[in-house]
Amino acid sequence: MLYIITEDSNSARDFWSYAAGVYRIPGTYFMVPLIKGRGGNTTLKEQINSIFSGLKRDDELFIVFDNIGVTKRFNSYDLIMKTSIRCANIGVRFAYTKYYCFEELYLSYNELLKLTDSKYIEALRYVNSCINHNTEYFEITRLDKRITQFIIDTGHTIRNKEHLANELLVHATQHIRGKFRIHKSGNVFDHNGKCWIHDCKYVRQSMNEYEINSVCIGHCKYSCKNGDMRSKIIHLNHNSLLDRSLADFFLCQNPANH
Amino acid sequence: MRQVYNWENNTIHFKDKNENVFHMQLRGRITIVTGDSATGKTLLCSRLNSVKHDRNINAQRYKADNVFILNEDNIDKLKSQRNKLIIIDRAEILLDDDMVLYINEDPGNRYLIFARKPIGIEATPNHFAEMQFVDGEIILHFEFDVEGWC
Repeated sequence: MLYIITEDSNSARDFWSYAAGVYRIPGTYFMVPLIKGRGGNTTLKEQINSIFSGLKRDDELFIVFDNIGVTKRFNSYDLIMKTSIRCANIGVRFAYTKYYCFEELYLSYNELLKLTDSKYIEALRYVNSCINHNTEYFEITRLDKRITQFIIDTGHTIRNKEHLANELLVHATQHIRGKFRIHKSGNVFDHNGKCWIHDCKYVRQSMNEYEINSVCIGHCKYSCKNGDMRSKIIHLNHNSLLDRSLADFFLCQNPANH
Repeated sequence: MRQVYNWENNTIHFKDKNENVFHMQLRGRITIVTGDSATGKTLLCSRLNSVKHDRNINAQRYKADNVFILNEDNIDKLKSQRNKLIIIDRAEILLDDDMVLYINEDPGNRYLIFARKPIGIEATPNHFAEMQFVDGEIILHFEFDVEGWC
């Protein structure tokens, strides 16, 4: 059994639930319930503890971090180290997300550059390249001028790397026709961002004929146009940083899906 | 004389008066060293201080003028440093929130920070290391090198 632990109830949890559904057979994975009424990375340890006594040899534990950075209140390094040891002691495979923050998943997706009409395309291209080439795009006192221009023009207060990634992604996806909008809060993949994930036939059920003709048929440039969830998630996996996490975990369980 | 800290390679490399060899590859702008007592953290600071102040025989072989070892007596000089490797032992005691913020945003220096608990220095697990004694040398061992956690 694969146990998936996420920080909170937002888009990252939805995404990984859908991805597990694509790559795993039903009944072989389990989304560990959130600690009621509390979210955030400080609840990860409680979630791990809530299922740990029930784990058996050859089970798998996968932790989805919203943000891997160590902070004053949360020590991701310590959590991973200790969980690795605990899992190794009982023969449980342990893995975790390989991105800095969830937003990077779509910022590294080349389709984003192709689809957006944002005037900050150069900033997006720069960040996309940095993520895909494993170089830093956020040093607060040495920001690339394309990033600086984006921050000045949009008036955002950027306190850290995750804030920048979030603002860039929100901005970029606002400038795509169709239901491609991604933002931090809420269940975006079932609402304004459903075109990234869901079967196009399902998405069109909530659109009128004019919208379908003008947006889907007339303007959609998505490589997965008319695709289903499976094709969209597999395409994302092959064209973003996601392959680091998916290949690491889901694909090796079921090579036929690769 | 050779610098104990090579800025180009981001490496500390020297031998002290007791023939202890320090050969430590740092990572990026900030390296944070955790781990138990008696793994060499304070020893490193002590030996570097000796080199800086000509207090041992190896001071004739090494120099450390691109290293600044922060302590209670010189803490007010942190913000005047440029192009230095700044080493901070027991950072959880020495640093306040204002200094942590300064370090997070300081573009001009690099940091080697010894801390027993998180203090708000922004870094991913890739930048966390432990000191180890391997093949006669004191080195830094990084547990993680995950692409995407730069």
